[in-house]
Amino acid sequence: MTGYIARRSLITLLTLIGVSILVFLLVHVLPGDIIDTKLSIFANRSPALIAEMEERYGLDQPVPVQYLNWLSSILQGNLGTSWRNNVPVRELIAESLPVTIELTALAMLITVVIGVPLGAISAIKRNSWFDNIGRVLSFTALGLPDFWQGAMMILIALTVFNWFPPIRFVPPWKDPIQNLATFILPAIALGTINIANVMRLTRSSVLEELHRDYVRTARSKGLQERSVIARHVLRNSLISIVTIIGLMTGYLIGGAVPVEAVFTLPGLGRLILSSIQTRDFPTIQATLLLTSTVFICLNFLIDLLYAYLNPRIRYGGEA
Amino acid sequence: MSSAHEGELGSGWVARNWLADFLREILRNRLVVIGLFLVFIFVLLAVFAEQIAPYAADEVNIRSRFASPSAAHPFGADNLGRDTFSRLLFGIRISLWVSIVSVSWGGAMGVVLGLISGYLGGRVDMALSRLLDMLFGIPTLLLAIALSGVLGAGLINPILAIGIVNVPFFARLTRAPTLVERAKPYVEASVALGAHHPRILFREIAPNVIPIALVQSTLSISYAILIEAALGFVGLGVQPPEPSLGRMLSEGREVLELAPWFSFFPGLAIMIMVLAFNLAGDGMRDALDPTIRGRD
Repeated sequence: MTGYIARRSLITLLTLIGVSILVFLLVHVLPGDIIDTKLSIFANRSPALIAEMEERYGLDQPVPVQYLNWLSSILQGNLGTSWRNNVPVRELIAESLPVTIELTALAMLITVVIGVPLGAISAIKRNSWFDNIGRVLSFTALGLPDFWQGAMMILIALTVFNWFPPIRFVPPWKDPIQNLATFILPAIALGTINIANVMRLTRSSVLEELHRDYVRTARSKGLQERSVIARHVLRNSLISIVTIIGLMTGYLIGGAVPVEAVFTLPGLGRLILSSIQTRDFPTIQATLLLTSTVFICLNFLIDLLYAYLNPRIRYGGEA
Repeated sequence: MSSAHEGELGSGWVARNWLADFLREILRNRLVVIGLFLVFIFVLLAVFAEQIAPYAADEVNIRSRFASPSAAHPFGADNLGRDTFSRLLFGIRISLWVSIVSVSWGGAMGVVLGLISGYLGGRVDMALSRLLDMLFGIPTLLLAIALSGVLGAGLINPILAIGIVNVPFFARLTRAPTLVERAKPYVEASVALGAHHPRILFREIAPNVIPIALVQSTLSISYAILIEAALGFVGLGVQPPEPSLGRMLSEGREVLELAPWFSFFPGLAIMIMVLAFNLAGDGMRDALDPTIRGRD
């Protein structure tokens, strides 16, 4: 296990460094020069002014040096200053992060609470009407663009219930009801594809476990079907479900961009989008790096959890 | 069937037999047939958009602004009086074009990288795998949005962005079976016969690995359709006046109450397209996998 953790840690660290290089290069080397953006409002772009700007932003130095400077300031907690409104990027992120965390957490909660039981029932009552309807619905839901679903839910809320979700973000500890009212529709919209995925995955992994020998053993020693399923089958199939939570989070973080736009939620997704639209490079870099770091670290933790749950890896084998 | 028999008839016969098995398996599955049929319909709609569409995609008609669905405008009209049905057809064309082209090039590149990585192993494999981890480290849609944002909107850039997103995925998918194939006796036999590495890799191993990638590409196209729509929705896709399903959704959002059909139909079209590719791809994947074949 120690060897496994060490190896995974090393790979995760390498990936993090790689992603930081990627994020850095993404905005530094590709078209759309920083000076162009900054000076686009000035009519005369004298060489002296450009040189001064280059010096101020450290652009006169070689790219690797720029990267190291950028990385060291990030590691010291300095995420840079937004070019759009000269606010520290850290403040922008601090404002928007709680919104996205709550949104993704709620979506994840809905996904697990609905997806896992439905998938398990579907597998246990295989080929019943419940299973068939569930499979058709989950399959159809896989194609549902989350932002479109969001728009349609707003439409229904407006026309049928004459209600529009409040768009001002209120922390849950101040007004839990209004907070929930703000988040419930976007969380459902964001979670639907995941519910469908988790349902399908749970169904197939429960089905797979049901065919295993230990299930026959458990039944033949006289265990009730209920405890066969709850204590043996479900527990074993949850291992494979846990492992996709990391992937799901990645999906949720990405999906938050259009969904937050539909519901005009002031979250990280909106910050990323607006910084891309205004070519606010420090903000793009910091937000991309932050979300990717969270994503990578979460996957690392899930790898460890998986190894812990799976004795074949725990006792030294390959994954 | 005896293996001696197979030897006599040669590998060509075995391959054809495999293909026939695969096709029979596919056609037996009604859902795959429905999926393929729907894909075919959408391809027809996209190819013959000019002939089918009652209006040009950018034909402005102020008198029919926000017209509700009628005989003249089956899916209604938008804020400039442009026919939603016609714009939808051209939007489907662009959506399919972007998705298919980007999955083709991204997938092909991923397959080649996966083959090389799995075949050569050692340091090359290590380096390539870490490089792909890096691309995997950024959530897919976010990477596509960031790439499109940096590259700028247009027709080519979404294709570049969605393609890049697909590379690591296909590489991982191909690498594992390549590792398995490389250890098989026929590879050793080829080496003994003096075949060069590229020949072994691309003529002997690749044909065994590529079907998996081809089936996966159907499923990847459906995801690409969703990404393309999301890019269009946030304003990073194909630019006006070219119609894009994603942008139609975002334009429709602003007049949701006034003209719901304006955003309803593009979303529905996306959903059915994705469903069609998923149905086809899912069933084909099952047909490829002998362990699932025959089960429920």
